[in-house]
Amino acid sequence: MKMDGSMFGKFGVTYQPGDLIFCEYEPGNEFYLLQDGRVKVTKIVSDTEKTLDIFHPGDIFGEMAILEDQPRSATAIAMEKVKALKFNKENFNILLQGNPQLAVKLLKIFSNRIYDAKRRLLILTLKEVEAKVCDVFLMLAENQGISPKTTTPSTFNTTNEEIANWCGEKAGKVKDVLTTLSNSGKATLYEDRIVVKNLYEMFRYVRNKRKAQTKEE
Amino acid sequence: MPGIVRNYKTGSVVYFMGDIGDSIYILKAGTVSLTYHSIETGEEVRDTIQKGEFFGVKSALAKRPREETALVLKDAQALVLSTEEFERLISSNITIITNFLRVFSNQLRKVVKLVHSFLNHSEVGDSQAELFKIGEYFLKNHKYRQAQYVYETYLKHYKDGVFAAQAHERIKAIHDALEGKGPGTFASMTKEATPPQPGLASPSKKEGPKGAVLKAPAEPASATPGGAGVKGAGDITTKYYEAISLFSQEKFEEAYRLFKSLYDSGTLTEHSKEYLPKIEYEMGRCLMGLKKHKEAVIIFTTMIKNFPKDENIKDALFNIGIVYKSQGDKGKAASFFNKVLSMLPEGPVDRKAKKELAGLGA
Repeated sequence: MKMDGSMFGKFGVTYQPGDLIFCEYEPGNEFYLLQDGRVKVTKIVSDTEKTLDIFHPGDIFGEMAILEDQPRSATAIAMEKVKALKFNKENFNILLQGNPQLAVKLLKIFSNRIYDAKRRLLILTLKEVEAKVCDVFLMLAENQGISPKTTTPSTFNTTNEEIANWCGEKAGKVKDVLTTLSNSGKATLYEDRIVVKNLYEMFRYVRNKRKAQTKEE
Repeated sequence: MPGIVRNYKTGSVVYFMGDIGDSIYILKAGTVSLTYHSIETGEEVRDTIQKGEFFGVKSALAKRPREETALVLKDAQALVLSTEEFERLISSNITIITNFLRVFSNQLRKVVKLVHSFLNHSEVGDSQAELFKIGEYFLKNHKYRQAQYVYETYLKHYKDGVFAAQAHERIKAIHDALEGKGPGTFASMTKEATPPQPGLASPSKKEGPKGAVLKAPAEPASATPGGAGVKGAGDITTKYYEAISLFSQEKFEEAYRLFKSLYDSGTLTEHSKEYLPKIEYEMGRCLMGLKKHKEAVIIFTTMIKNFPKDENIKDALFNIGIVYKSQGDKGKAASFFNKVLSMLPEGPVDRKAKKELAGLGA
């Protein structure tokens, strides 16, 4: 995607390798169109930095900021020398006029985000922590293309803290649930991954919980 | 105009909820309704599509299953576009794009808001403290430039914040370290990466005597090394979990050693006393795994004696029964299984005990 020089003059920013473009919990309402170099997006989970995504020239990142007044949910780091255009809600229209393809890209990002957010909401609307934890595994399976009807062990590169984050529950509570699952032989816990013995069993459990809940209401 | 025109009879379905398809539709004539489940209430909602309106856009663009069923209420005609055709079409029309962006961003905002409403009570912490902690993470990992950025960002947004004085100190130390003035003060500082304790005078006097200022540090204190009691509790939780994880991997020896070290360490404070029965119980299970039957029975018995009201009591009794069974002592095994069945509340262990009793031929 080519931009003329005047565009870069107005909105351009450059970063050196290793520079933070923004960091987790930083307030901010700009988003970026990457022109040159790659950008790594990371999050600190259980005291380690986890890479969530790597962006390439032509990609948009930080776009959630134009939607909500929440601080950044992740850190963006320049992996090499980076050139980007920085936009906010106000000057966004100028960008669109010249680059409708960008808007299409943004539409796709939003579409996917809506699906992701709705999926997370499904987890959160479950009442019991046990059901939430199981549903997190099911969501992770969906993302990895694993069928919920799988009855052979499935591996998930996730941790107690991460699951707690998805569930919106305290890490300690989730730990208790994982401990119970482990003790009853339904899951094996490793430092960096969790193996679920029988995903289909969890699927049926969550489905029943959800049914019971709708009846109650 | 690209795409193909398709005709639909009353009562037919354009697509079902859950279908995957990359077609996008524009209604040209007739009536089509979309039926879907409301994300807020879960109830079925029905919308009617107006002539000239698009449908099926979001699912096609995201390549995800359709969220609604599109039912033809009155003979209809629609222009059917592939995703690529749709993209080309809207690329030349900034008004349509802007409209879509508005609709989609509104939807997204609504869902994200709902998500946050569920999280408010538990997850969403104090961004100010969390931001400072990100700086501490980078500092601890010797990523000085990144740490510096975070501290400067902190000061930019929270000039008079709770951690402002510390952020200033850190930045100065990073300068010194980067300029080779020796990491002496620096190293000691990373170790003390502790927010000011509530009630103690903080170096930064600017904050004034606002109550709110003193409240904030309570949260991060549990995450960074704070008071000894808190630290002990955090430690034991982590180690206990580690041991449980080892057990689940059937590394009984290692798990036992870790449980035992917790048991013997004497660090069980008021906070973490609740772990004692759990640790005793788990040690028993490890010993069973290691086939150290006698020792397993001893520790289970200790646990039953010390914590007769613990939730794992019935499981402990059951396990003793299993140990006796494995040693061929059917009579004793049966008496323990019966003991399990005689106790309330009933749980999954009752079924297991019944099965064992049946197996014993008792």
